[in-house]
Amino acid sequence: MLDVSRVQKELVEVAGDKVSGVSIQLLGNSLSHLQGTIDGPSGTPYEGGVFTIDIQLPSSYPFEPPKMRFITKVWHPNISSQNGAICLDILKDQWSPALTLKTALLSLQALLSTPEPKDPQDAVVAEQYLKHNNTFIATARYWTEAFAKRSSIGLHEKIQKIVEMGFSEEAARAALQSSGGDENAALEKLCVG
Amino acid sequence: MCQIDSQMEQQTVLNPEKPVRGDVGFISSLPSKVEKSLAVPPTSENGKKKRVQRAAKLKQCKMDARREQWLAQVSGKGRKSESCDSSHSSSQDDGEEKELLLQASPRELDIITSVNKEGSEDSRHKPPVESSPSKAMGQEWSDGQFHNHLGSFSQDIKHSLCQHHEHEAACSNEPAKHSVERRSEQKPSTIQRYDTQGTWSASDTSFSQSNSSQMSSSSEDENEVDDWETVADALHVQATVEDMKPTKPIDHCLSSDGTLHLKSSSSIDADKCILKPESKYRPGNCGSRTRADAGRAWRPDDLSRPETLPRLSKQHSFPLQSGSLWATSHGTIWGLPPPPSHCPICTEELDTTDSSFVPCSCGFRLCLFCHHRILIGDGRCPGCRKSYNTEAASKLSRACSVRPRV
Repeated sequence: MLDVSRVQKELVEVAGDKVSGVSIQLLGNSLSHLQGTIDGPSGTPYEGGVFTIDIQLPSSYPFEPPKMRFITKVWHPNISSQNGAICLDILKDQWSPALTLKTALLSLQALLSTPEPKDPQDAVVAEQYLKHNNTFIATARYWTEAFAKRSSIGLHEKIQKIVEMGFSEEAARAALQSSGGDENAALEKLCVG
Repeated sequence: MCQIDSQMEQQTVLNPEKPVRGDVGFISSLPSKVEKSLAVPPTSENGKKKRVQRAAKLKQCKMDARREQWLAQVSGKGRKSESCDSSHSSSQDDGEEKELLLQASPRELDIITSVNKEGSEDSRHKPPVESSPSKAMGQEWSDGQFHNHLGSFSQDIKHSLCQHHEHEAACSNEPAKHSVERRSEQKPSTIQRYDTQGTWSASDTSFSQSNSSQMSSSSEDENEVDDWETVADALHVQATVEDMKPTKPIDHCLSSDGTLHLKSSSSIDADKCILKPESKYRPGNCGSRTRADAGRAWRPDDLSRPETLPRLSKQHSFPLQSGSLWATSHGTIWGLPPPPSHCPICTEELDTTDSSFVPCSCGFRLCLFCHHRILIGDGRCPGCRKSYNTEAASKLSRACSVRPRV
């Protein structure tokens, strides 16, 4: 049985903290499925991005680690670019019941700051990180811009919709950027333009 | 009211006969009473409180009956009815009690007079000691003296008070009788019992003399005797106060006769030497009262803590070595920060057992439930991820090795 009181206190604790750049939202009525967000740490390619993390709490939480996965696409050696799986020891064997959702999310923030390519989750990204670091940084920044910007939350889906209507992806992206993310305004612009 | 006053006068006329008639009886009965009260030790402390309480209730009923008898006697039937009554009362105990009542009533009336005049509690303590009772008893209730007492009494006191005083006089015997009867139930034996006997005898005299007003209020409320424990406590306190000024019992005893004086003075000596240790433990007189009342051990920061007591904190203040046994087991008490109020794992409040539970040398505290839950799983400390089992094992091995104390 999930320790409801502890999870509730954790949520209250996270909600009361506005400065650390982490937050947790409830998904429905169940406390076992949550959604966390972390701000991309400054000084990294992830700066300015807001990364959404899916959190599944096992019934034995906090004695078992929470299951976390990036929903937002991230270019990072330790995060799967395909499914957002995270390779972090504290979410696996180094979990401690003394850790909380907040500390776990903060650890993910730290992970974004300091990738660990020797213990990669995504081998392609890790290789790029080690061999072509500049390319890695550019790609990571692009992914952040493309998927993790607050204004561009859902941008990918919008672009896909516009592309399905017969416009090119680049034109769709430019139109959306100029219209400030408004899908209809971008469409009008594309149609008029 | 006037009728009552005249009744009082009747009593004064009536009473002088009594010492003449019952002179020998009175004198002999009083010492025997006191002797009984002093020589027969009570039960071992207040162990059988319940039994005593029940006995006290029964006695209270008896007291009430007798008080009514006494009041009826006084109220107008006069001498004839009294003699009738005395013949009517078959047991010797009743006769003795009546004498006691008669003996006590003028004394009590006198006390109450002084109380009513002066009002303060001190005045209630002292005048009976120095003046009236001793004098009265010393002269063996000579007619004139006795008459004087009651005469002045009836002049001094308002009519309204008279009835009240009769009431009081009657009931002021209650404690004495209680104690006497209690004692007669009890069996003599060890020195410890003698202890309590001494306390009780002292408290009895003081009670019947000085606490008349208190008893009058208690007699108004018949259920007051239910609270016998508090009365007994009050008696104990009174006894310790008596210990400070033991002149009253001495006066009292001197005034009676030689044998009584011998007996009671020896018992007072016993009182003194017995009450002293007791007063040490119930220290109304010495400075350690607060500590004894609190009923707790000395704290290192107590101002009045005796120098002879060991300083535990000092004993354990030798250098702590990281990871050593002392660091793990004793450092938790003196070195570590205070425990959190809630378990960091389950966020439930930590009770005292949990608060004193430090399973790991890192000082991470958690409740016993969570600790148990972790032991079922991987058994690692949430604070440092070290295994609890290896920790315990290392503790054990260190405990076996003898470490010289620095």
